[in-house]
Amino acid sequence: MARDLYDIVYTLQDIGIYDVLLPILLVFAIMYAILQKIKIFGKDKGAKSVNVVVALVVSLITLLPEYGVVDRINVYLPRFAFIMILMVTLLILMGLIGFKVDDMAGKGVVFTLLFILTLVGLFIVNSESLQNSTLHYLLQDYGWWLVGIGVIIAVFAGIIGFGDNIDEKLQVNKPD
Amino acid sequence: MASALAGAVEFLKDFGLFDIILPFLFVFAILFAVLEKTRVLGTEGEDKLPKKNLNAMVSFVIAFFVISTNSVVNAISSILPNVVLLLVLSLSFLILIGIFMTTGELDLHKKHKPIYWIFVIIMLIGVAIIFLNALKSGDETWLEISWDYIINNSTSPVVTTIVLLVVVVLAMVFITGGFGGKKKDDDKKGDDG
Repeated sequence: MARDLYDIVYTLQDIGIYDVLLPILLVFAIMYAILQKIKIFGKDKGAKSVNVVVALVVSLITLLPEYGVVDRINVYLPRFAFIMILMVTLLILMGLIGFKVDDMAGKGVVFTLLFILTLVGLFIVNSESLQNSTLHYLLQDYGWWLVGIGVIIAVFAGIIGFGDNIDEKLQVNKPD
Repeated sequence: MASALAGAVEFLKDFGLFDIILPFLFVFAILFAVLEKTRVLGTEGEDKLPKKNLNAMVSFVIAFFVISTNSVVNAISSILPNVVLLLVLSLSFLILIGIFMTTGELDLHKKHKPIYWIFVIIMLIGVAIIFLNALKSGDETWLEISWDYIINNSTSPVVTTIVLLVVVVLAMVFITGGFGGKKKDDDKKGDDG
């Protein structure tokens, strides 16, 4: 019997790897890492066990089908990866024509522009996983308005130099 | 749900894992950790260690009370998955931003304060919406009740006063340079003097 990689993927899907195991692993890893980083339960040895239990409980509760979180994550993550590939290819193209792309976010205006663009992009992409929600209808009706407002804000940000040495500019009461 | 692992989840759900065991573990773990950290119930010995038995007993009893209250368990099992969704969303956004940055830890708090505060506000609003949506009064959620109230009374004195207060507070924060700015400056001046 001829078997190919598609069969393996379908078999994994049938077992439930994508619906059960991978979401558990993802949520557990994220929750555990964040709890370990912020040390909300202290720095003792026991705190690590508590972090494990809390992360495990949250990752398991996420599986509850009535809230549809796993379905949303399954729809959202491939699209997120697609956006990521788009951005990396954009950087490659910009690098090709001579831009220095190693620290674009450090250049304030570009950062602000990218921030707004990624925010709008994320909202638009994620709206498909939020079918029948208020946000979906809002984006359907006013999506281009929002993009327009984002562009106007970005242009103004660029004109007034918002983002260039932003920390210095925000310190109103800077000591002499 | 048709897969083998989905069947296992369904079995565990019928068994009561999601309604009884997980909420119990969650509440017990958090309460126990907080009691151990804060040592509210006192310490014992010369090393001032927390009273583990007492903390465990109190956490155990409270966790049992919680799982006997259906509405609280429902709220917990509704809030946690939605918070995870918010978490995945914000993490993916940070990953996207990370593409354009140099190698190193992404420290929004120190290097990009405005973005950090935008994140804080979005998270605060998100958690508030999730929380209100999880609590029910009759058939309606608190979110629906409060949203309907705001929509139906958008020109009423209560709503306009709240909007005015929020705007005034935001303006004051913006003018004075944030919540922590002044204090930091005062500390620095004190050190100099």
